[in-house]
Amino acid sequence: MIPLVDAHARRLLIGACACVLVLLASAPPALAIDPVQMPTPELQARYLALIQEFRCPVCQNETLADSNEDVAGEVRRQIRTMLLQGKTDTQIRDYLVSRYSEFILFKPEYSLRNAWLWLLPVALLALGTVVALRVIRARAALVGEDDDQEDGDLGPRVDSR
Amino acid sequence: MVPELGHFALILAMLLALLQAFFGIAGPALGRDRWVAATLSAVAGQFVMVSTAVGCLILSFVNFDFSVRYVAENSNSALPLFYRIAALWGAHEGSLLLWIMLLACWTLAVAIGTTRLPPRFAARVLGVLGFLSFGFLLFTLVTSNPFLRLEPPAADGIDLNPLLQDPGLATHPPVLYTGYVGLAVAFAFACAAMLEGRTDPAWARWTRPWATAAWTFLTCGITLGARWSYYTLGWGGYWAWDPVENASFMPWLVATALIHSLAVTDKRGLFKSWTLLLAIVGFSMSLVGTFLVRSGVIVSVHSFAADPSRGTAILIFLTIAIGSALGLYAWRAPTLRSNGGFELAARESFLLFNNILLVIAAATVFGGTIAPLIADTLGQGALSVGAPYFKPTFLLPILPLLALLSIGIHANWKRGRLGDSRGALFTTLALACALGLAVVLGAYSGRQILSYVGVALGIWIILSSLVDPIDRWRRKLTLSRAVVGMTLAHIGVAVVVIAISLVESFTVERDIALAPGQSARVGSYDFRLLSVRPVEGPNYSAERGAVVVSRNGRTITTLFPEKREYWVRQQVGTAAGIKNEYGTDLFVALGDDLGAGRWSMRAQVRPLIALLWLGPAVMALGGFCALSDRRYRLARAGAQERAGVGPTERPA
Amino acid sequence: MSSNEAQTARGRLSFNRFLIPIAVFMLLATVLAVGVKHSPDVGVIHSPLIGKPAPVWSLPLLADARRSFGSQNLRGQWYVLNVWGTWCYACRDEHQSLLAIAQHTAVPIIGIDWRDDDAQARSWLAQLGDPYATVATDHDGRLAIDWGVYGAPETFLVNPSGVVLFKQIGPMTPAVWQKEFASRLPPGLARGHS
Repeated sequence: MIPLVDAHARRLLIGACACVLVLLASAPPALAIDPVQMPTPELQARYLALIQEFRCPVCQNETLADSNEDVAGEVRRQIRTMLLQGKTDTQIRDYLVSRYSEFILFKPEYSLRNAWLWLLPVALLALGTVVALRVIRARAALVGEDDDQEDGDLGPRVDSR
Repeated sequence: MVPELGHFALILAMLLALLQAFFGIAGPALGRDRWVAATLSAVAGQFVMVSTAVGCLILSFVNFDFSVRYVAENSNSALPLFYRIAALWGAHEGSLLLWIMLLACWTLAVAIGTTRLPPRFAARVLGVLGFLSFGFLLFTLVTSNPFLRLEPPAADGIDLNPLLQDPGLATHPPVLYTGYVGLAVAFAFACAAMLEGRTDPAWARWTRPWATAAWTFLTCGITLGARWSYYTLGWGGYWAWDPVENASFMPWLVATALIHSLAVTDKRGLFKSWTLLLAIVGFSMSLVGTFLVRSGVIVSVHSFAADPSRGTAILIFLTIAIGSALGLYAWRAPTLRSNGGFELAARESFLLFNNILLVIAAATVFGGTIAPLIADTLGQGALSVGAPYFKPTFLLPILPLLALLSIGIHANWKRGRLGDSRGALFTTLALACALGLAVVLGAYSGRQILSYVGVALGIWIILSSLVDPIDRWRRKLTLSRAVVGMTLAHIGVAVVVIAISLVESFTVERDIALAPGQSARVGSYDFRLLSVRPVEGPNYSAERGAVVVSRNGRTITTLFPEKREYWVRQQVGTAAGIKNEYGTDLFVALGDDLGAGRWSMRAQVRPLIALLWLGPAVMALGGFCALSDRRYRLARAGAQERAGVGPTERPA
Repeated sequence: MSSNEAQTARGRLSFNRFLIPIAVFMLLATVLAVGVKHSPDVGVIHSPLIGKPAPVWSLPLLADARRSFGSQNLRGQWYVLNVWGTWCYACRDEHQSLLAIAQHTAVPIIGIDWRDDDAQARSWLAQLGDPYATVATDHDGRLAIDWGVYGAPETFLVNPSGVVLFKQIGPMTPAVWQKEFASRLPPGLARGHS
């Protein structure tokens, strides 16, 4: 076995996780049933949308909405309080990021740092289209008028995939 | 005794795999026909040894042998027999053994199924598979041995993870892994072709059934997983863009591109290097997925308990396997030339876009999944990527793809002749738009544009796919199984698209708190709590609720959600109460006891979600249908190939 | 182009083109290798509070719930904030270390009893020893959220200007104290090792 991490540091981390695990072990997985009613439908909608946006800080890849962890419940409560105080979604987002870092967001921020992530699909699409069109243009040039004889077995309608 | 036997069998299997790799690759290269023949013996031997090892582990589970550490960690004296056997793949070590078992099965199938192919080529395929088996067996024996003992034996096991104590465990991993591992066969065919320096596209025809089979199993496996998480995790979600889920989806996307690309290479000898690359990348995605899930580099609900040393070992193996294949590719691909041409509106053109768009989708999902790793490497700190990223970026290449499907299906090879199908094109489009409006506005009073687009696209695909088969049927022409298979598969995709559009837009979900006798309105249904009573299961005790669901005063069904506490691990699990009414799921999951008999619960109405399970079933049916056609051809064609005749076009 | 030129041009282009996949893969393998190296840290949130002013806080005392204590009582001095609870196993582990550290250092260790039962906390401290200069109770977790705490134990070092200098995630040990806390304190205040 190749020890990649100092055993001491690993033990420390395991100790920390142990406490988190104490909380985890008693909780049902991924099930935050929280019958909460905000005073107005608009706030309720904002609340439900917000809790889907954030990661539960102690869970393995669950949203605040789905986690039954106490910490998640408290963060949800904090969000409700801030909504009732009239804070905007951006203010709430900034508050949580300033405390838990960007890790708590499920949607990467639109920032210069994350530009590559958001632009990747667009860039790939552009590149792909260019490549495809070049290939097609090259191939189309190879289709001569006199090939029709050998087209016989390609059939008028598609016979195969 | 039994675990020792299993351990020993595994070691023998590893040595046989090494022999298989050696004979399979060196034999043809050096012209030693005895070695080529010996490859088959090695395959058979490896299969027997792996089966023995698996049998021994199963026996250890069934007999409550808690001296085996893996059994002690995943079983318990109160665990029912069914789960004791399924627990075989309940954790890392055992699931690796499952991988190896399935690889051995596929290898055996390939050995039997390629007897009519040139023996040297077949040997090379088996040799590559042998190398892969060897790698996995070595990794398992060194880092993840399921036969390790506990000294002294445990008094009792700590039970299988309650989340896994579900029939889904019996089906999802084996079926999914069958698909995952099946892509290795296409990979092996590609490597064999490259090793041989083959420039003719015959290998594409030979590979097709194997790629289609792997794709079919992947489709089923992913769907089984989605369905399992839907009813077992208590929140009715079926896809969370979790890294482990993505790890199974990316190979599927590439496999889909592969089977289409193989069609072009088979039919017209074009896209040869494209197809080779896709075969390599498909299995590479499987390997990278395995790495991501077991190395602890990403955060996921589904990942196995991780260990950096395991991660390193997998990474080394992965690098050797994929690096070699890509190196071969860089060497051989330049020699592949093809001279066919095709027009802009030709079938080949549409399939080219199909490939590109699917690969873009796979690359996007991949990028999002390893984005935290990339940010880490660049020293940028934490980056977290979830559904809000994947949803829009995935749709970007996929929506155009779905539209192109409906158009391209009418295109002929080489000269598209789309003009001939103008009537069909416009009719189907108009019908789809109208029906889509009817469904979205009429049935669901929905106004989201995306749901409308999704439903309309889905209907368009179904209508377009039916044009040709109906036309042939009317002209009394034969419908080959390949065409039927393709039609079914496309229809299946369309059904999935429709289902997702409807479920995502029109699901009604509410968290409610009820005392017995109280009811709440969810969508157009009323959910009334009757009672919550304690019950006992084989290894758990639970609170079971009875919830009556009615609509317009008429009782539809009673649901029995459970909140379970498993004794051994003291872990809580939920079993949702679900009933399907004409395709729509009525769903209730129990939450917490709020005191004074009141309980919180989550109620959902998920419209037409049955389509989400039906669609992939149709896709798989299409896959199997197409497979049954190919094999028939392969047998007849085998004789021609051996006689040295090159690829020719065959009539239906 | 003459056919020769065409072939050479195509030859050169093809050569480059087909090396792209393996080049991309090598990049990927590097990223994955780095990932494995850092994998024990996966999921650990690095505090964005470090280098920033600590949040203002005020909580009831464990000793007397009617009185409160908070950041304004600690203005202008160094302090260590330790979040703990009787329900937390690792907190029990670090307790010995905290007692030893408290004996040797002049920096007050403020205990924040997180989501806990007051009576239980008091008897816990009576039984195991009390390293804290003051203990305040955070029943509903407001301070925890404000400080980005997501598990116990966590320990913070705050300087006289109210800026958070370091956050220890996990149990405190003498080694960590020496390396991360004592090293940041002015000489004379530290000296906390058993």
